[in-house]
Amino acid sequence: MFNMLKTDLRRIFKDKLFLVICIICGVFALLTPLLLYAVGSIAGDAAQMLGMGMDAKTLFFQAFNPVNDFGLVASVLFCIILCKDYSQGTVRNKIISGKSRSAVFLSALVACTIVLCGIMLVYAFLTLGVSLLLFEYQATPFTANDFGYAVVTLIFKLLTFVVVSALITFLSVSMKNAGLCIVMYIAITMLFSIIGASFSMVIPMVTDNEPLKFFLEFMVKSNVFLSTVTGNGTTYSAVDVAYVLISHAIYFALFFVLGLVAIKKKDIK
Amino acid sequence: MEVVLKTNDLSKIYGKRLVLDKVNMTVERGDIYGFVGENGSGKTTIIRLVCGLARPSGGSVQLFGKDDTSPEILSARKKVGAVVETPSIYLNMSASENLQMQCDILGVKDENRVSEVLHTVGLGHLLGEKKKAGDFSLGMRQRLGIAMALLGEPELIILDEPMNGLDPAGIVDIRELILHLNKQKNITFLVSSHILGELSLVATKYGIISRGRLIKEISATDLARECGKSLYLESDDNDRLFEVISNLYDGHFDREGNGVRVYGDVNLNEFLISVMEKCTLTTINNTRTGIEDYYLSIVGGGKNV
Repeated sequence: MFNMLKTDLRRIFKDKLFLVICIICGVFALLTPLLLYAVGSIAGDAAQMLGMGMDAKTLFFQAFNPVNDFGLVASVLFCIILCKDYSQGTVRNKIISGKSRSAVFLSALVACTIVLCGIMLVYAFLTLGVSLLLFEYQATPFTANDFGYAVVTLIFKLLTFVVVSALITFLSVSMKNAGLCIVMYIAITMLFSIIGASFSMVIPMVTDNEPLKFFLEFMVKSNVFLSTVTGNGTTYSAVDVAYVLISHAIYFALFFVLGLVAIKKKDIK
Repeated sequence: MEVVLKTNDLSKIYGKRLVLDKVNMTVERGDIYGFVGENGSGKTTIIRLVCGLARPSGGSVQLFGKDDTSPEILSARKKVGAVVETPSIYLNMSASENLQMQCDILGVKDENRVSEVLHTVGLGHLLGEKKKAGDFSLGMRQRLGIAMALLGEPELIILDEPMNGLDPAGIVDIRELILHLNKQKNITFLVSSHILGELSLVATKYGIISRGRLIKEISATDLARECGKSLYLESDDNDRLFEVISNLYDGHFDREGNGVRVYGDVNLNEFLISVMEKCTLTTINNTRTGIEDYYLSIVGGGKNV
């Protein structure tokens, strides 16, 4: 398993697309805060009223979004990288050499998680660095509580990308080619986002129907692609933590099991 | 002789199409098993099932005595090297890098192994070269694929159409490599091909497959005996002649032109007297037959098909 993980990591780092991801990471990390700064300078208070994050903290945490911005680009490019093992037929070398299909899937998943989370961290910290040159971290002074909140939020955001890695690995195993894998990734994440967003818009209209309201809130809070659980901005309640951990565990388990079933049933070309 | 590979009623169905129909084949240690069949006959499907790349719809595969339904099949597969269809190589990496990747998968620690196999397959000049495998010719990719199959010092090497894309010199090299490894290291080979003439220069045993069915397994010696001679007969009534032969002869025979060709070593006098007792012969021609004719006689018709 460790040998295969080493091979998978080397394969990813050697891929030209990984270099492309790194370049896009740098460009996006530079452009996003700069564009926001430019818009803020031109629009002034109107930008704040539109809800645009005008502090480094918001930009830092917004960087971890699997359906928008760099998060989407990185995920899509990772779909291509992972699919190459199947399209080039190199996965055959592992199976013929006596590696179990479960080990092949697990190795690809771990490699994808390590590199995707790593690149998202680099992107987020680059964004934070550039943002701090242009904005304050937050309107209020930075305290120990803020540090704790940042660490917990960072862990939660990374958990989302662990789920995204499981989804990408599952799709790369199941789909016939990278194009289909990308389409399915975008379709699935968009579907979850749209459903979640629609539910959150309906919630204020059903205040008198408690069970329905609870159900809709549950569906929105447990949607890992929306990341709506943000605590009160400085701390998380136990319920928040439970929502995040349980929902991420369920999504991860779902994609993990689907991926294992897919690779075990698949005839490898 | 130890059985290295055995299939038991191996079947494969894609959708509603039966691609393999209860194939029973046996490869023994030291064999160079020539797997012969037309395009689409099921050669690659069997190889993919043996390598674990596809799941059988029925029957089973045994590798080194381990059944493919048992967990021990994974350790048995470690003794196998294979090139299935096109070589599985990373196109964005050099030959050495590709082999290093395979070393990692196999857990090969010997640093000289990469150089050793590159030289074995005639790609020694690529050692340390940065040229990417994507820029290699088809022949070079084929050799690199074989080098990767050799890395783990396998006891069984499976090569699916290894001569494809090779120039005449390359074909000779690969043929000599197979013979060398078989003789010197007692490596067993399963080599599929539709180029019979080429296969006949290396194979010690043949499996003839057509339309998903293994029609015959025959040793090279028996094949030489069977296809060495054939008897061509014509009669006034060829339908009657065909019927008479089918009652008299258990070997292979087939309609050809205006008559019937009988393959194999026939006791000429006895056979002809028996035939002439029941019908009149107008032409008798005793000739030698090539391996291709023999193959066609088996897959193309006759009562054994």
